[in-house]
Amino acid sequence: MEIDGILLRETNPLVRRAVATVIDDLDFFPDLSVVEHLDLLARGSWVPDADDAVDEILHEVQLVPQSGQLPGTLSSGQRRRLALATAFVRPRKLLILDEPEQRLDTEGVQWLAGRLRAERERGLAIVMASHEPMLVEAVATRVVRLTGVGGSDATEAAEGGE
Amino acid sequence: MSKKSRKLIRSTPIVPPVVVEQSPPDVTAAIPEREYYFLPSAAPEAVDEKHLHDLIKEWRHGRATRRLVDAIQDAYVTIFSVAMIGAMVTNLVLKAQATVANCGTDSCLSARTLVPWAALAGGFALTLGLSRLFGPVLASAAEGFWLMDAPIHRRRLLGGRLVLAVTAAGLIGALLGGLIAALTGSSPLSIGLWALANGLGGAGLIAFAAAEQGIERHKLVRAVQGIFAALGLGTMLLVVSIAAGWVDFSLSSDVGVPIAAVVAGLGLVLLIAALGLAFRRLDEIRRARLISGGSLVSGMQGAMFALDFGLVRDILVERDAAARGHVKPTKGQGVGLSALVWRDLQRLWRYPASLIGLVLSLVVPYAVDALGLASLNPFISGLVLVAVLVPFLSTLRVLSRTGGLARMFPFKTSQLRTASMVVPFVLAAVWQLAAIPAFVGITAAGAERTVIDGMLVSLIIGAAGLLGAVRWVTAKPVDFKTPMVATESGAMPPTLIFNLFRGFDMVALITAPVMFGASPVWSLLLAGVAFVGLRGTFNMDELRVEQEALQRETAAAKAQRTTEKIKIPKPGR
Repeated sequence: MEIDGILLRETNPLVRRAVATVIDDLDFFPDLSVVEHLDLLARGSWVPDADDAVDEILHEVQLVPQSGQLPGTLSSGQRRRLALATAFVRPRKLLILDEPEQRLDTEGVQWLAGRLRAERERGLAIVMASHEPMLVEAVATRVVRLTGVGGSDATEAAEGGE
Repeated sequence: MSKKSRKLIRSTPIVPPVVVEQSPPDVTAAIPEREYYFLPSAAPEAVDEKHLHDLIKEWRHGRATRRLVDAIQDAYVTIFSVAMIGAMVTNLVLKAQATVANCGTDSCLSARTLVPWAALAGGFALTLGLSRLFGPVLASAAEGFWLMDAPIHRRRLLGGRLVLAVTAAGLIGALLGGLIAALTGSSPLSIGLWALANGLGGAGLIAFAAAEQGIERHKLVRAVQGIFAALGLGTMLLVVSIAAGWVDFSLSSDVGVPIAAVVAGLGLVLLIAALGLAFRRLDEIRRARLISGGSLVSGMQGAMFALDFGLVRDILVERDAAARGHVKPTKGQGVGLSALVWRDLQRLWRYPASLIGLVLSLVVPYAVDALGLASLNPFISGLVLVAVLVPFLSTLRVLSRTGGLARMFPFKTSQLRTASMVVPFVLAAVWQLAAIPAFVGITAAGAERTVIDGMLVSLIIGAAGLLGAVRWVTAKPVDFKTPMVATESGAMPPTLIFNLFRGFDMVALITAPVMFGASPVWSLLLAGVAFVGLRGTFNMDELRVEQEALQRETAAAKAQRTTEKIKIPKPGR
């Protein structure tokens, strides 16, 4: 499997630069606040105008009141929104999401759908696994539906044809 | 299902179900008249808490799969090991007593008189610190959920637990206090009195902390803990200063006896007064406060079963962060890898306690040298440096314990690790510069090295401490999927045993040439090799993952080729 002609190896810095992921193994620094996490990731990824980018995403995920909180004090929904923000605050060519709707309320899922759709329209490739039909319908151009016990039967449906 | 069972089922004649005509159910009769949506007006039946406690105990014992005797029989190797180590410690104590009892120098006499005082104050500070961390009275989450909301007297359920905590503190304090007094060559009367002072004082302080826990007051306990910590440290500094000849101070060795007796008496008074108060306040302890200590214990128990000390520290750090809640955010500096280094620097201002610990740890090499243990100084100081450098490696810890956050940064793992070591490296470098006089030798009983040699040894200890701390924080949890090793205590993954020595092994390896009189160049070479390995140049986990991915891709390509292959039938004749 390749991305931009580079073998897809998780440890390759070029792959790390190109791919942003939100899956369950994301960890946080226990002693850094919400905004400091985003600031560190933005600066670490050479984001131009890192402060503006951080402010923008912080507003978008509605974590401004929690910006000074340490991750251990966040609710599971807030942690999820922070995880999504870590992916959106840095440059990326491919976004890999594993059930991004988890622990988000209805309003949050709607925001996520809008955001992902906008990202897709700007040319970002998104690979996502989801149980939320509304999110899939709003974002996906190609859907692989896993059915049957243990996901052994797979059916593929092309929508949009992109 | 066995063949016999299938045969039996097949041989059983199929009987048609008997249809019984049933009258339609009486719907009105099925809904009982409920009159107890609200609490009954009659007083609830009194609960016998002791009976409840016995019942829980019986259930727990009933679920046990092994008896204590079986466990002891299986662990006889461990018991023999403990007995042997105990015999060695006793021998060491006797030898130390014989040596110290004959000493006549100022450093020896001052140590003999003052070390039990320092140990007493330090032990009291530690006792209060632990009691603040765990409770000292605690309850499990299950007890909190099922029992604490019930109309019972918590005092009767928790009383035994309080007595247990107080008794344990008393016994451990007495044992350690007596041991330290014995090691400093004290007389039997003095050893007994120091043991009493430590035991009664420790028990009294636990009771005092429990009484404060009942009214949710922490400041007083924290203040007393700070006083004892300062007293302990001050006394140790005095020992070093006298031994180094910086302070002219003489103290009669007999003065310790009445002081120990007074402390023991005060401890007893405190124990009686505070225990009564604590018992009365047991009913008032909030459930959340009780469960908090219980969940901490269960989390740490789980980590300790896997001997994962890194996880134990993670739990404590998370708890500390949760208690702190929020911080005043600071803007980062730099870009790329330097952003990580800047963030580590900013952490120093946010958490100055770690920095204070590093500065205070400088006492150790000087104290060890002053006590005439110059040959052991590299190893002891290296271990202490490991302990005080660990808090500065929090970035490295988080980046190496799971892959999630490391994946978010566009760098190689080795680059991330090296950047995370920059600030601890600078701190270790400053520490080793400040410790040089201790390795050159500051007292008559201490080391006798040239300045160059002292600088080299100090440099080696700085490297050993830093690399030991790096190894400690980057330790992977025990892999229970690897082949197990058969031991008397059952099957055990080999990494479980190695986890005990992580960090310490680096210090032993790097300081060994210096301690055994070989050239310091060997130590520096070993440190260089260890650095290459620890910075993740050859990260075995990553190599394994990459190899597995390659194998998967090769297999997939092979499978694709197989399906694409056009089968040509054999030519027929």
